[in-house]
Amino acid sequence: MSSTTVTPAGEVRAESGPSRTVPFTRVAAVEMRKLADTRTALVLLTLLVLSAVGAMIINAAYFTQDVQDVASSAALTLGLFLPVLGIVSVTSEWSKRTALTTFALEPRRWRVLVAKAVAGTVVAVATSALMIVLAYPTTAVAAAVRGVEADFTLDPVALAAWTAVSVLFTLCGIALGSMLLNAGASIVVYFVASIAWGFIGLTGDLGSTLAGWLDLNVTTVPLAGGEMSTDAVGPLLASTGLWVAGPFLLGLLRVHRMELR
Amino acid sequence: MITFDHVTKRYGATLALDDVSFEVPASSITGFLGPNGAGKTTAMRILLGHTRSSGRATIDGQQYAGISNPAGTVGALLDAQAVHPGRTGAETLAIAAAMIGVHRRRIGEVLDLAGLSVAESRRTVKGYSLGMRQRLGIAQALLGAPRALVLDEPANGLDPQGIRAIRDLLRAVADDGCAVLLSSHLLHEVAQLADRVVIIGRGRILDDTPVDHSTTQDLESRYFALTSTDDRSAA
Repeated sequence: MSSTTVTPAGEVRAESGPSRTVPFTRVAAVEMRKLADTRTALVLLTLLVLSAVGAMIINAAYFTQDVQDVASSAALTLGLFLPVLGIVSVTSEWSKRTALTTFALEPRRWRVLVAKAVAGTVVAVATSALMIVLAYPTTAVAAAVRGVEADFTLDPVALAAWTAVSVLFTLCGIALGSMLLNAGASIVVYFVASIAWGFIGLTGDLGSTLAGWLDLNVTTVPLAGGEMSTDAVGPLLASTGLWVAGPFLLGLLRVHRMELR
Repeated sequence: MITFDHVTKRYGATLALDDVSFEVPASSITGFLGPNGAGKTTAMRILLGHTRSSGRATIDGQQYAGISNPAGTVGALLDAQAVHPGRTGAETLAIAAAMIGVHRRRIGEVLDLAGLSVAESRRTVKGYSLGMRQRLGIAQALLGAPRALVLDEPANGLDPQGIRAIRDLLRAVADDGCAVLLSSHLLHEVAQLADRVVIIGRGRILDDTPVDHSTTQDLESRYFALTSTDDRSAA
C-alpha cells in the first residue's frame, strides 16, 4: 500500500454508508452465517446430517418399514449434535474472544443471544425437515431390499411436534451455553444430566415423579411420539422452564452485566 | 469528538481510572501515552461499553451503548488477537459488513486502506502474523467509515513499512474529519503523528498538551519526568 491510494473515509460514507440502525433480521442472518463459516462449523453440520441419515438407514434396514418411524429415528443423533451446535454457537464467542467484536457491533447484547436462538431454531427445523424428506427414499430402498412392503403414511401433526422437540433440545444447548459460557462445562452438564436423571428415575416413587416432571428426555417423549395429552403439558412446561427458559434468562442477565475481555 | 468526563473505574481496592477527563476533537489525532497498567486500555474499553464506570465517556455526545449501529460512528481496534482463527480475513470483514449494513465493495476498500492483499484476506486468520492481524483489525475498524477511531497500540507487531502506512492512513482519516484516539509506546512515532498528547499514569491524567512537532526530544523527556515522578510518589 502506498499513502497516495488512501481513500478518505468520508467519501466512501456518502456512497455506501452504514445503515442508521441494525434490524434484528440482520443480526439473525449474521448469526446463521456464523454457524457455517469455519471448517469446524462445517464438520459439525456434516456430522449432524450424516449421523442422522445413518440412524435412519440402520432403523429402516433392520427394524421398521414405516416412514414415520424411520424419520423419527433421526432424533437419536439429532439430540446429540443439535445441543452441541447450540452450545458452541454461544461459547465460541468467548473461547475465540469474538464477543469483543460481536458486542461492539451490537451493544444490545440480548439481541445477539436471541439471534443465536433464532439461528439455532432455523437449523433444527431445517435438519428435521431434511430428515423427513430423506426418510422416503431410505424407507423405500430398505423395504425393497428386505422384500417387505413400506408404509408411506405420515402424520404431519406428529412430525411437527417431533420437529419441535429438536428445536427444544437445540435451545437447551444455547441456554446452557449462555449461562455457563464454556463449551466443556455446558456439554458435561447436558449429557451428565441425561444420565443422572436416568438414575434418579429409578430411585423410587419420588425419583420417578421428579424425573417425570423435570427430565426433558422424559417429558418430551409424548410430544416426540405425537401423543401429546393434557397430562403431559405440565411436565413439559416445567422441564422446559428448568432446562431452557431458566438458563437462557440467567445467561441473558450474565452476558448483559459482564465485562468483556 | 470523543469525550471523557470525570471517568472513574475501580477494581476492588485498585483505582484503575481516577477522575479522567479529556477530549479528542474532530479532525485530530490524540496520542494516549502511559506505562503498562496506567489505564489506557481500561479507558478505551469503557468508551466502547465493554466495561462500566462512573462518569461519562461519549462519542459525539452519546455513550456507546446508546448509539444505534455504532460501527458507523466509531471504529475500534482494542485487541488484534480477538479474531476467530478459523475464519478467513475476508469472511471476518464480511460478517462485520453484513452487520453494519455496508456494501461488500467496502471490504475491498478497507483491505486496501489497511494494506492487506486480497490473497492474504482469503487465508484463515490462524496463519496470520500479529502485524497482519493488526491490519485486519484496522480494516474492520474502518468498515463503517466512522467519525471516531479508537486504536490500542495498532503499531504493535507491524513492520516499519506497516507503521509508516498506518501513520499516513491515520493522518488522512483525521484530515477527513475523524477524531482519532491512539495509544502507543512509540514516543517518537506519536510525537511525529499526533496533534495532542495525553499522558496517563496510575489512572490519573498527568499531561494533556498540544504536540510541538519541532521538538520530538521534548515529548520523551516530559514523558519520563511525569511517569517516573508518578512511580516515586506511589512507592
